[in-house]
Amino acid sequence: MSYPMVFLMAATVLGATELLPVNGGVYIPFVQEMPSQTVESFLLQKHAVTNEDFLKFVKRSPRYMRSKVPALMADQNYLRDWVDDLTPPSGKEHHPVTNVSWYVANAYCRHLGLELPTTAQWELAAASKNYEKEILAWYSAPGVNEAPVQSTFATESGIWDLHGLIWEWVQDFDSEAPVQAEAFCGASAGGAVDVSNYTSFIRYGLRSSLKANYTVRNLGFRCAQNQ
Amino acid sequence: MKLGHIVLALALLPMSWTQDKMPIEEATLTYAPNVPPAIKRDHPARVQVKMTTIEKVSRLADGVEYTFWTFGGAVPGPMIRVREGDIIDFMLSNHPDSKVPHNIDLHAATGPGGGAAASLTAPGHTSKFSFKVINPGLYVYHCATAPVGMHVANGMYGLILVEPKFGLPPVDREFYIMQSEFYTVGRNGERGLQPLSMEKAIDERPDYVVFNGSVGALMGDNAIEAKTGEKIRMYLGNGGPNLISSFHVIGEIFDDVYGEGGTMISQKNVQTTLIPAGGSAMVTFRTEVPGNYVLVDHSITRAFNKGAVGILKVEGEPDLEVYSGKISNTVYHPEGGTIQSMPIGKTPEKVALSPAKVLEHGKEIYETSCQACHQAGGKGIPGVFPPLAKSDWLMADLNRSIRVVTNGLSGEIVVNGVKYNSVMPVLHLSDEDVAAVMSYVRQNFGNNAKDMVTVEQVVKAKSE
Ligand code: HEC
Ligand SMILES: [Cu+2]
Repeated sequence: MSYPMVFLMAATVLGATELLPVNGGVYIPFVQEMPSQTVESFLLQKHAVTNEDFLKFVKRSPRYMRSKVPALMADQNYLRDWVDDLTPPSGKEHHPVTNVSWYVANAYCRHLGLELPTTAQWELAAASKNYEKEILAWYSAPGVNEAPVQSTFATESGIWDLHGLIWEWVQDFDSEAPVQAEAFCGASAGGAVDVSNYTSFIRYGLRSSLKANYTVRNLGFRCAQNQ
Repeated sequence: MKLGHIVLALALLPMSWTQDKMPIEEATLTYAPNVPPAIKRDHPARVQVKMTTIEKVSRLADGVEYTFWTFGGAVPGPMIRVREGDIIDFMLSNHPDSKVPHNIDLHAATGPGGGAAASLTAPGHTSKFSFKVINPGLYVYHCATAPVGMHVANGMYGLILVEPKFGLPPVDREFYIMQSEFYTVGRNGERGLQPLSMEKAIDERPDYVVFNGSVGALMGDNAIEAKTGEKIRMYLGNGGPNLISSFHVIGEIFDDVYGEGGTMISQKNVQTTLIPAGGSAMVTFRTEVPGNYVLVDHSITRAFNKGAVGILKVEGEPDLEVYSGKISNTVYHPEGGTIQSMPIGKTPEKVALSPAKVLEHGKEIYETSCQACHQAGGKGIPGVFPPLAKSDWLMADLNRSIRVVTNGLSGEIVVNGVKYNSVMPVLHLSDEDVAAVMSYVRQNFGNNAKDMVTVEQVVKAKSE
């Protein structure tokens, strides 16, 4: 049985978001010490996991409800803007779920027979030379984007909101972290492949600042499937 | 024997302040231009410093907004003051609404990254780390999160003063002033919310060079103030990210300069001192004569065109021996007091010029004597140099406007609804030149006078 079939079964149960194919390619990590990676074609959810999607999940797995989740798996801000364990903020059913930790995001995807995308997969899906300026503008704008999914733009593969709505967890978010230790004054540019690539720099910086139980107001996720 | 005991006791004394016996206190943080109070302690302490990084939109210049990334909601961030030997317990929180992580690299800390790696903080989180301040001096702190250039260009820097064990010489007033530059997509003065221009930052072509985070932060009502006869110390920092400052106070001489923010007086009697990017300087001077003193980066187009000006307003009794003001204005004759006519030739007769020629001459004077401040087309610089273009102030009262040029002008005025409180120096022009330039500005730049200003009018206005 092929993976999409497995997904279809899980998806039918949970009514989760559609997966779309993303072409493979070569990902050159931002940090010089890391070898470039060949990425096979894979499937990625069309948009980020929404509050509504997430509600279905916590109903089936009550141990991930706000009042039940162990502190080791999520910090105090977990699902902070939810009204209670089973009530997402009203009017935001189709907004991406944020303030979720890596542990819980990972559990969500596993539950569907899926996985969090790797850094390489995510960066490949989100690669965009055309939108650098807009992306930088979003990174620079303060505050939280209060908008539902599918409200920014889609890539050629039809994948929405990879930039401009929220940050997203990746499976190996901490894989680049050791290099950050040398980050002082200008020297943090020392290990970078392309020092003028400010948008990658920022994502790299964000990933390095996270721990698996952290939850952040601007940080959500979507799931992927390897073919 | 006895002596030996005393020596031993003295030697042990400093060691009695072990880490856990150290008194604990919270640092008083101040926003520029204010400086935290001098430290009275004669022993080290554990000092708690709490700061929050906040990303927010605020004013960069009149009509121009910018998304600042800040320590404590301000540019520059709060000033910290501690004592050599203190242990700093630093708590850095990143506001939950922040888009990106931040950290802090304190140049006062010794160890890799100056705290940067230990303090990388995701939005909505807090990092704690400790360090001992071993070296006294005035140090810059800044965010060092990748990409550093962007975090610093957006405003993430401030100063930490580590007082030497025996303190600094007492002064009457202290100020905290930090220069930095901003790179905006729109050109200087272009209105609206201006995004950071990465290209300009990389090329080091800033549109704004400012003191304390925005154009006019030390002008008008925000001018710093002192009295005559006071000793002033300025803690000067330069956040950069790129430019080196040639810091100068027009009309003052620094009595002492602590070069590069070190603890030794490196030079006395200095006109202009350098502040390196990511570095500092301390200067002290005594105020003698009342008046407005203009702070500038003497890389002078930064002051005239990009915003690097501020005002120190000194109040008190004038001291005519130190500075007389203008005593008299007489004609200079190389040969002495009496006019000696040349043996050959006649004194040339004054030829009346046509209005067109006078206006042409007025234009030249405008370009050589006025344009540096009032700008091409008389458009001025908002908040710094008032416009002459369509100026209601200029056109309202001819005599008054003539006196601005002949006698100078200071104090608050309102031009086209905008307040200015600055100094225009006396310009040493002949009466003919004043008549010509006044004729020119009153008939150009959207001002619609039809008449010429005559030399007689200038002479009369001056003497009023
Ligand atoms: C060194 C800078 C500087 C120069 C040079 C200068 N000005 Fe000014 N000028 C100022 C400042 C500053 C003010 C506002 C003073 C205040 O706030 O009280 C001003 C005010 C004025 C005003 C009144 C306000 C207005 O906008 O109508 C006039 C008129 C004026 N200047 C004309 C001139 C003319 C004509 C020249 C050249 C002959 C000249 N200025 C040269 C700095 C300068
Ligand atoms: Cu920062």
